[in-house]
Amino acid sequence: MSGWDALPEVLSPVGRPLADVLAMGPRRQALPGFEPVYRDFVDYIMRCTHRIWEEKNIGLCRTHYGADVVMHTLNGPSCGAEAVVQGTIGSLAMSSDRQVIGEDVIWSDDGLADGGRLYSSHRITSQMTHMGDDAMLGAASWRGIGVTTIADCACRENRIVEEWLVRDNWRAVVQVGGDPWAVAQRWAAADREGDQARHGWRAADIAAVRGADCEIPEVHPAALPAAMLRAAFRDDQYGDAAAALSPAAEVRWPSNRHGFGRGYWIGCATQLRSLLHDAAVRIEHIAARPLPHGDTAVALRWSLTGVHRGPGLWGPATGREILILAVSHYRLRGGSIVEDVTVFDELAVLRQVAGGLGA
Amino acid sequence: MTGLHALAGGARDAPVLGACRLESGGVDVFGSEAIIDAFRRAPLPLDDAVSVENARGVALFASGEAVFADLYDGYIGRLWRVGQADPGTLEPAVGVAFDPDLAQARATVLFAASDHPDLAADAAARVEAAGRTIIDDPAQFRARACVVRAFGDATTGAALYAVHGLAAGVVRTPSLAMAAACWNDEGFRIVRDHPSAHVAHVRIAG
Repeated sequence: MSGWDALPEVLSPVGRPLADVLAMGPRRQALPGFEPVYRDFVDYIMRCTHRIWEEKNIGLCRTHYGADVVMHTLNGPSCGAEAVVQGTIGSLAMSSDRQVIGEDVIWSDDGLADGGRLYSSHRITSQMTHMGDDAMLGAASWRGIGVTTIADCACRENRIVEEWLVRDNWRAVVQVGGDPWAVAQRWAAADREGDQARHGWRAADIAAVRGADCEIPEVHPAALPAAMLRAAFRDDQYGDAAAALSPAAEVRWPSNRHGFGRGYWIGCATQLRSLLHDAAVRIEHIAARPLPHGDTAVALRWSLTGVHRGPGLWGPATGREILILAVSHYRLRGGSIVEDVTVFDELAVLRQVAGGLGA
Repeated sequence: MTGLHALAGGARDAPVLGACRLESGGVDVFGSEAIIDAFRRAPLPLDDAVSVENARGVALFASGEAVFADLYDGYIGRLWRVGQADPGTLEPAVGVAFDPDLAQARATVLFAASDHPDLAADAAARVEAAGRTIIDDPAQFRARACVVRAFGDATTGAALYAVHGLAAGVVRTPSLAMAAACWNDEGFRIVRDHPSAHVAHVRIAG
């Protein structure tokens, strides 16, 4: 694995016009087995997203996803490139004017040269119009939607071989005037029908959350936010945790949680923790890359689990085991976290609260 | 004329990055197309405009409003518009209960100079003084100003604040609003967002 700040010529898309990001040119990074059009790994992520979603060459998914790719979401895994093709077509039929606007790609070399993978954490805020009926969003509302998604992709030889996808679906539903709790209840009712073994993935993932964190070198920029998450969700030392943040840090969490300061971050963390008893947190992947102006971008993929025994935001306590898959993007400056953008699918959390997904 | 002047005046070719976010009165607008459209529909009259600029940020004060921009080689990467009369409809949001101070020794302005490399050391007092003025609001029981952006020196500078507050009265309705200040030898100019209804949910199920 190379250093987190190796290859400084592989630039973040932050602060760059799209024309610059997508400019053609010679390769800047060793990418064995990748199509010649891709100059570096950031270019691969940004350009293939553009080719598939905006140029509508959806069939490229068959050469850009592994045949056996597993896409992990909090609604369950989907398997295979054909599932990706069909899902992409369905999404674009619902919102064909979708602009998939890449905000950042925070990536790591996880031993590519030794048979490992390149890993990207791609933060996207899509802009689209709800033009067609959708299982989640309901009948076409012709309202604008703009929500943040983070797609973590493990890649080798031009293909995404494993993906973790988190999307702010609670916000998407409210943007079209829908009722997320009603959607969650409807889905949960369907989940309780049929072969319950199909929800076995969730129990396995919950068990895994109580395992060890991924390796996090002390000198890696991710060590700071990782320690923050551990201090909060493992040790319940929220004041100590929040000391990693600037006193005026900006915090954006799902479902339009938006505020500033250490106290606000503690509020977000304790809100979840008050709902989930016997909680466990696991940090599953880290990446970091330089940003303009000397800042550093850090991506953490993490999971949180616990038993819903606290009344409050999610209604009366249900006693159900809840799983949260989250990705956080942090901006570090001067040894502090100045921005925390965290995404998890709170609609899928409500689905579990309502007794779905095997909960 | 800077790119921000062009954008604020409603120009269609303003240098706005594709992944730019505009926040105005708690309403988000994302992407260059939507942002340029938003300013085209509601431009700022720039007759009395005052601007404070450096390589990485610019602030524009005009007609009772303020616009702050993060710059990347002249491109606008992030925007805040403060004091707009009708920014649009707030989305529903999950409300978060929190303590802004973490101590009985109450802070007023939450500020770390290290967050703002383009702010000269002698300007910190200006930033804090403007922040204290901003939160001196009888409509608020408890207001705290978080310094979001700040640049300049003691003679000329600007700062952008996020103000968390609780309403004065029996029901302490929470709020988050932006405010902006610029200063010169003559004093401060301060702009605040208009009060808006805070649509926060404390329960989203059950």
